[in-house]
Amino acid sequence: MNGYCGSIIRVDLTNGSVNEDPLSLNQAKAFIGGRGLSISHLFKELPPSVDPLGKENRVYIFSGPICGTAIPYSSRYTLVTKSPLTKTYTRTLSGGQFSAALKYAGYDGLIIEGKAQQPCYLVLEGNQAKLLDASHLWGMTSRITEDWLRRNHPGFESLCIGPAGEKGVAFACVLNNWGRAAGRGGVGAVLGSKNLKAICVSGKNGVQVAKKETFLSTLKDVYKQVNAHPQIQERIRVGTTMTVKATHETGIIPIRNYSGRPLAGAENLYSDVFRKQLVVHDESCFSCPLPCGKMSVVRSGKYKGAVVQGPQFETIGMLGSNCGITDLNIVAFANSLCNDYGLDTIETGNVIAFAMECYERGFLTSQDTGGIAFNFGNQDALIHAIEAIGTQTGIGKLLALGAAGAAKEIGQNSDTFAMATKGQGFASFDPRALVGMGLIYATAPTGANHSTGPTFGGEKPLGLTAHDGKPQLVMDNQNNYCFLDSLVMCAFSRYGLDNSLRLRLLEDVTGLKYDLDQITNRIFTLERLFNLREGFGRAHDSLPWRSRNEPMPSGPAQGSTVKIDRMLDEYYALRGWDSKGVPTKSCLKRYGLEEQLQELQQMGLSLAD
Amino acid sequence: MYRLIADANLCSGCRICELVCSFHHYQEFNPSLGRIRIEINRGIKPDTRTDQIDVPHVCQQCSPALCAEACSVEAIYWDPQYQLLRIDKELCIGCGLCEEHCPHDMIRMVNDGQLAQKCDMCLGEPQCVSFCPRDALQLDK
Repeated sequence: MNGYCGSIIRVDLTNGSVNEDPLSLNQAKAFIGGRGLSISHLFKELPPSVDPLGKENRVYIFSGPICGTAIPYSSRYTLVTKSPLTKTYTRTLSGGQFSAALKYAGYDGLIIEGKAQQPCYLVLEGNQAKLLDASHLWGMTSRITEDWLRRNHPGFESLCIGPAGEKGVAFACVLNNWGRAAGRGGVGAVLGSKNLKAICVSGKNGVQVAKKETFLSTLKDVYKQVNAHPQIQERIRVGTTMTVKATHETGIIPIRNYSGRPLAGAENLYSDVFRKQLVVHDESCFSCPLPCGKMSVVRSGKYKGAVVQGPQFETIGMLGSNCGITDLNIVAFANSLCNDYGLDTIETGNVIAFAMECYERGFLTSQDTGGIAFNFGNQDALIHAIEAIGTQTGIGKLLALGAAGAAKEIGQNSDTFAMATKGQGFASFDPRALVGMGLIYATAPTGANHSTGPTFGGEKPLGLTAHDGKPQLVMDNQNNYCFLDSLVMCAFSRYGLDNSLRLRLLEDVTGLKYDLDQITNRIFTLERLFNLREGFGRAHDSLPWRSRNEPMPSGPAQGSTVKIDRMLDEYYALRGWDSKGVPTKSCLKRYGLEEQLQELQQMGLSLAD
Repeated sequence: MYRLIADANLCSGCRICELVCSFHHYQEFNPSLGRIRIEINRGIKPDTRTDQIDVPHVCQQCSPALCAEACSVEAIYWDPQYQLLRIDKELCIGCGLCEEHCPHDMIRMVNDGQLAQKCDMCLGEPQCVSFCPRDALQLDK
């Protein structure tokens, strides 16, 4: 096959068996790869109501047909599973070198099933799979684990979990290449529950291309276009941190648990400070001309000597401004600590900010927090909280539930300011200042997740706090990301590429034809059906009270709230779903989901025509 | 004499050079066939030098060349037209001595180890140089 390897490897940890499924051409054409192929498998293979941390859950680790080629931005892989944080479908992605290595090993995807008796790690080399003992790695930080794997398996690329994943923290992440994180949804905890510490891959298979004769000259034109993009140099200089200033000036970056109150000194988190204070080296993912990765070293203060890849925009917003912290040295160290433990920095910042607000309101006391004043801006509280979550001690047990989960324990209407949807925390965008993002949070099949269709660029011409036009924008973005996540291609491919070029490159590589409108709607609808089958519906497509009822207190978005119900009505109609958010029969038929329709009807779910 | 010059301070480790090298010579994307190699050491310490993080390794077109001296059948020769060391495919017996002796790990054994290959600078227009997005590679004429 061209582009594809034509094989999916399936490893059952319970009995150590390894099987290869051939990838069918029809499946490839219907779902492309990555996220698409993953949901097509997940929906078929995972019965409803499975315990996300039980041995029945499965993890789908997929590359895409363009991964491993020299197409720019084509280095990402997806992880899909049922989330322990939200109990919904979840998908998370990471860059680095892993995706290409999986292709060179000969696989489009890897499916992990069952549960190992003892801590183990998986080694895939060429057409061989081995499960090896990982007792000595259990409890080790992600950094130590990666160092050990590189020393003992030279030439291999790996992904691993940290101690938080082993301990079942519901937002434990998966890391690769010293700090590239597949952050969201708790996939790290799912791997931990299976006693799988790491996966190493290596291979010497090449990726073939259908249009061999013209491909290199096509690529030359693509690279010219990428290099000529007017904003690429600034993106290379400071990575994603360029968004800190832009979101602060528009009131979007969250401050003190999305309260929106002004934060003195927030300018210290801006990109110019970041570049000057921390960055020592620009680093690319595999086959990427835009080295947004920044190797950083803390050069002064209490945490002098800390090394981290980042912090990126999201991390600065979540562990920085949202916790009232304005010192990038502290954010960098906190980021490095999260990576060591294997914690999603977004969820970690979200829940710590929630705890800080609870403390300031008196819902948590210093007895709960180990004697530390959990006020916003207290650096020691931030660091203590991360360590407590990572080690599952003290207040860490409560915080490991995420803000929404912790609010259930704390009570006292604290859920009104637990900034999450379906149990997953908001990212670094306050939806009152970026209203379409509210709809993204509400309708993302993963629970709140900005990366399922980031809207900041698209909302500017519509008005950031306006509601009109947002449902259409959100739907378009969500579908667009179904395409990107299935290629699998980075969001930053917008620096030089558009969808028609992406599609052309995909078709040049595979020699197949794809119907993007069909495919992207099919993927998104199928993810919706998975959640529907788990009991989710309109009631769960919601935002917390604060976003809906507490007007933004100051700044450019002053007075704004999110009118989510109004947007949902319009959004469901655009999607071809009924007013309860259930896809109609004709919608399912339109996207080739007849088989799934039958299954849902057999389960007794009634769907409108 | 032509030579590839690499600047490790500019390299960001994207490995596009390895990919276009393999595609130009073998019409597939396969870094293990690339005649250029990027060493990636991102597990850095606070005092790691920046030219030791992402490090390009290129054929030095050495003179004298240990690969050519090691070759038992004199398959590695100086090509005056292109001003570089090349491997004569007809003469190479795939013994792997050149690979063993190259101090820069720049010889690739292909065809199930039957044939040695090395950088030929794409006979005048190196693809790695033309694609490198950081200008970390240059052709020195």
